[in-house]
Amino acid sequence: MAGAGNRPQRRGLGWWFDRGVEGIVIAAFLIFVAVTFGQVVLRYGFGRPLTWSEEVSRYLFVWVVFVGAGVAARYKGHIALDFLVTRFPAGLRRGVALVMGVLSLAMLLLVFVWYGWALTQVSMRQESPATGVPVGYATLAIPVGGLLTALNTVRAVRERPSSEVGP
Amino acid sequence: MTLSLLVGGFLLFSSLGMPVAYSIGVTSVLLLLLDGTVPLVLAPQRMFVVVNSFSLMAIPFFLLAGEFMNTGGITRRLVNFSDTLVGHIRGGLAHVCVVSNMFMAGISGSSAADASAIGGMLIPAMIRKGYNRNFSVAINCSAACLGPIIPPSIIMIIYGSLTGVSIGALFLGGVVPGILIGGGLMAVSYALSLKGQLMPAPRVQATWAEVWLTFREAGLALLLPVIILGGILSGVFTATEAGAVASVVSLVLGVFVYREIGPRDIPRVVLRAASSTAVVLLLAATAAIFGWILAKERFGDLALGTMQRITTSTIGIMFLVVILLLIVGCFVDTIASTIILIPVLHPMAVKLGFDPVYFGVIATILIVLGGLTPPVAPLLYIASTIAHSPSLDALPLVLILMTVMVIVTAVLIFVPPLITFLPHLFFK
Repeated sequence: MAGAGNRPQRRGLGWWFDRGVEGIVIAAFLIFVAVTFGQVVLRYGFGRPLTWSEEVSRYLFVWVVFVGAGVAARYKGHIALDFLVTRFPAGLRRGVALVMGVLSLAMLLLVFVWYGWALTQVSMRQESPATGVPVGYATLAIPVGGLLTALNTVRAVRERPSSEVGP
Repeated sequence: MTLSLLVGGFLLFSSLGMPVAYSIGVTSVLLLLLDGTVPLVLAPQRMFVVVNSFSLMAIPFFLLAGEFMNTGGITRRLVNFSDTLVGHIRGGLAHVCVVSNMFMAGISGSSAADASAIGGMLIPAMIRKGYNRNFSVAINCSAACLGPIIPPSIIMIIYGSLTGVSIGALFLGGVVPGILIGGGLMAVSYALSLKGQLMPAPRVQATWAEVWLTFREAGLALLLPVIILGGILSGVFTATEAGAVASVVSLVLGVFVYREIGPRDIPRVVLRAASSTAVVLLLAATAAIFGWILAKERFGDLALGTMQRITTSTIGIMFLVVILLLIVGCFVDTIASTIILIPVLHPMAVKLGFDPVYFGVIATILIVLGGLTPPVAPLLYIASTIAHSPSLDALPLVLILMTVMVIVTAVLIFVPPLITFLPHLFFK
């Protein structure tokens, strides 16, 4: 899973888009680590636990997971098995890759984006117990992350069509 | 019928190169569509419920701690200290690898983080010094399994959160098994070094002055396991929060004490931890849909019924569980198999009268070993990527080392106090 920072250095729109998404993921990650650590310090050191810290951390974590899945898809970081397909003749291999790709995209768009959005619309009416923030702000990570993952999967394949993985 | 479609679909798609997380998702969704009675909004809802869990945040915390320990020089200091302690024994760096992993395991809760941390240092060093390449890969990925067996442990945190078993008790239950498995790995390495050309002669024994020097260098890093386990057992922080404490402390050590991390390194390191987190958790998320279908199809009753038809003794059933976990471990990663199988297996174990901590520790060990068995073998892949060798080359040696770990586990199954003594001492 190494090599996240190792990409084609063309600074077009795509490049800035990737850096922006990565920046959001990094910031969210740092915030939930800081909030959780801060919570331990406040509770133990000062006897004043925060009420909102766990909920906020969890929601940021959900965003890091689903948007991070899109970042990982950008460089084919999701674990896949190639021991069988690498033995196929080139034509068959491309065909199989196409079918698997279409099925994956269909699943991402149907489950993550379409039904994830449906879930979000319902959850917008539901308040979180500690902060009162609609739960939908957290579930929104699923359609957004799913769309990003689908997009980045296509971009990664267009740049490097072979089944090679990694930077 | 549904069950065989579920397993068959997953095997088909993943062996045809679809990423494992997607194959689990596609198969589950196809089955839900086929079934027709379940609204599909259930799928994202199951994913959300699983990921929206504070316990699972142990994963990003401990992965980040591992990254900071690497870039901050903690890993190197632990390896250097281990080298002066055991580097002179026949088998040399193999023992250093096991002992470093035991120290590391006391801070880190993730086998994958340990495999890339210690392996990233020791595999190149071992190959340079003339150790067999495949053996270097095998010992590093096997010893990395100690990470989630010796506390803290991501797997045990998830186990506890799924079943309600005390995470502190599971942690203490893993201490003796972890030491025994480490000892087993060192014994086999010693035996392998006697015959064959796998390993060159070890280094000369370090003087006490050298031991003292590397001990002082490692100093604070060696204190971390005590802080973490002590903090959890005394209730200062929860097991999950311990991960956040570990990452902040290793960042502080790396930046201010050892001065090896600069502010410019931090975004890159955090992004690496974030994308590893996302990869593992996307798998956990789709596995949750899979697990829901298994539960709906009453897989637990089916499994128990089948097992009771094969054997009636409880030890016999325990060994069937061992076999089941080893087989499942070939096809899914550790977190996903915990999420799919533990909600099914644990109630069954309780029904049969097993001690929950005893069963939990055994199950954890076997789930962790799943990281070594292909086709889905993250630990083996991490180690062979570091060694620049084809991943299956090291498999025969991995299987030898794994056999020893399974034998130690069998001993643990027959002698429960090895696991339960410490937790019972502490938790009355």
